Amino acid sequence: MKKRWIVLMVFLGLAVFLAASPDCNAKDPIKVGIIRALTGAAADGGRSQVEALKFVYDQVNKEGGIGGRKIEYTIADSKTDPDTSKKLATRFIEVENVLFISGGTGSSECMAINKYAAMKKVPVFGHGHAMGLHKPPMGRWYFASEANAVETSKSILPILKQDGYNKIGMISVNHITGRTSLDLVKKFAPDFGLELVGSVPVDLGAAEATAEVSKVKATNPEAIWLFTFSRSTAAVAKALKALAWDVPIYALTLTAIPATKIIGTEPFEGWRFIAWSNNDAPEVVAVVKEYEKRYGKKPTEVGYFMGTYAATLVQIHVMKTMVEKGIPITRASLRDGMEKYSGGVQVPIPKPRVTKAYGDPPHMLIKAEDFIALEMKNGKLSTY
Amino acid sequence: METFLLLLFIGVGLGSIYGLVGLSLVSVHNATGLFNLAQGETIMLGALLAYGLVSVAGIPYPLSILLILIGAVVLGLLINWIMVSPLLKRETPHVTIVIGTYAVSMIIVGITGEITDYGFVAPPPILSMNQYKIGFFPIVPQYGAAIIAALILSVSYWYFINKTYSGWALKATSINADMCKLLGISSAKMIALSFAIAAVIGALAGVVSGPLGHANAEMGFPLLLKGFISAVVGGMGNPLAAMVGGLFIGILHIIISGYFAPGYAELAVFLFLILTLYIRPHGLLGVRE
Repeated sequence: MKKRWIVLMVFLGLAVFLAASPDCNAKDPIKVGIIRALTGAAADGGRSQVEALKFVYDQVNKEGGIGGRKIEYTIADSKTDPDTSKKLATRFIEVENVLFISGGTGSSECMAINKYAAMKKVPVFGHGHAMGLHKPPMGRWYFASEANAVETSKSILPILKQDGYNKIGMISVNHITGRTSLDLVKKFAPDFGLELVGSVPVDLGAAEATAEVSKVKATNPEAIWLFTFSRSTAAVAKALKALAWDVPIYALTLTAIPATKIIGTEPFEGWRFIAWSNNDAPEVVAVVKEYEKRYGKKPTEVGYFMGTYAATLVQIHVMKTMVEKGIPITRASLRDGMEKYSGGVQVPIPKPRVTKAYGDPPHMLIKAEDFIALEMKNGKLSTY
Repeated sequence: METFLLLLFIGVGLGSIYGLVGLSLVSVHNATGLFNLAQGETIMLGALLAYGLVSVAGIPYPLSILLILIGAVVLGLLINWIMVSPLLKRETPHVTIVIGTYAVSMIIVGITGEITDYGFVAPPPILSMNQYKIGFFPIVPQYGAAIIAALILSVSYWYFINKTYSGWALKATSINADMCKLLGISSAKMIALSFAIAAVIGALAGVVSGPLGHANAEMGFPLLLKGFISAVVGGMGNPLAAMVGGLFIGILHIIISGYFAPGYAELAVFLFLILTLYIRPHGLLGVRE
């Protein structure tokens, strides 16, 4: 009698274990926990990313899923807050037993999610580009939908040199990402024959920014590399007017385009940008049109949308490849699969191209050489 | 030197906004002994409505400002009617009422945030944001608009308090409400009036400050904090002292931002506050009651 009970308990335990495993049954849905900023400072970016994820996952499900398995996604709002992000990651991993997490929107959220997820050996697909995310042990489990700070810095410096400048200034956002980027530009500028003559971190108000930018103006740089986010970009644009300083500005499209929504395109006329998405390119327009046709509205921010869209295409390609090769999709195998099978995917950004496999960390969809250079003319961005 | 003069001008402009917020806090405090923590939301609504009415609805600025001021009066009276007056009548401890005003603030932020998706907008400037020169002195007209608004409002407030019957009644209510009742002055009306005045000053501070940065549902509290510091530095009981406090804080903030690292500006403001309280506990122009 006692023996029978032991056997029963073992069977029950096994059943519970298998049911709890995220990859127990080939026909079970693939559970995805999406953590993005739907409110707070990064909400525009987060919403655009969620729109891209829904766009791709809904299409995959419509076409029958991955090897017959539907993608079951749950969307949660990080509120642009690392603590909330960590709590959500814990819930997704421990309670909802997701296969992987798609999150977060900014580096600080990604860091909070990834610290826990890497400990639990759960892959994370995020948008943050802080270098810490790519360092071991976190970097092994983190897949970025864009470049990291090193790649971004390396992408702008050759463009500045190519455009004929020797002495540059840098204005960066006043937090860890900005300071890290400033350190990287200081480090790499001499390699490209550039001298960084002045730099300053800026705050969010135009009054403060005017005071801060005046310090860089005093160093007489020939051009400025602006590494700021949307609100600080808007503040700098106003500061330049207040200072009556007409200097060539190079910035990231991703932050400048949201800034144009705040203060219009006029202050950005003549600015040059490095971009991972040319929103006016026919391939990008086609994707946006398809989205609009399906959901009856445009994506919130096309740049953020396209970054996540392309990265999710790669992720889907990897899972489909694994199914074709008969590799069970588990958290660990997906991580390995992302390194091995992420090449050969046709993506529309920064320009239409076929991806290379991620390989060893850092895992990034976009590298320095992929960025494109754009210029704002008559309120529109175009290559120059 | 030119940059220094420009930064000084901008500092005075920014300080004028802080001073206006401080003035609005003092006007309620003097009538009720309370701090209205929902005051920041009148600033926020002023800025957001300026964007909505001028940029979205295309209503000319003067008419928009008039509509905003009417809205501000209604909001100020509502805050008083819903939260403050009923609790004052029941002789609720002041700290409880202050917490109540914070709850009102959170509700206004929540509703506005839901309506606007917590998005950031920049209300159009009343005057240009470009640099101009008067002789050798560089100015940015929009900061000038803030300075002019602060001058007009603080002088008007001084005149109202010191030269009109209603102003005397308001002042008297703050000194001895019971005696005022015996003299036929309605303290309830005076308190309502102080809330309406504070809301008007706050909304105008929002209208002039919005174009200098960006407006969203959560912009009120940081400005409220700066206004509070201005009022404390200047001297809590004295409305015009709040303006002086604001000017000190604004100039200090900008000059430190311009000549030191940005983080030091906030640090300098709080150090200045501590130093002022240490040397003059009642503020720069405050007097012991």
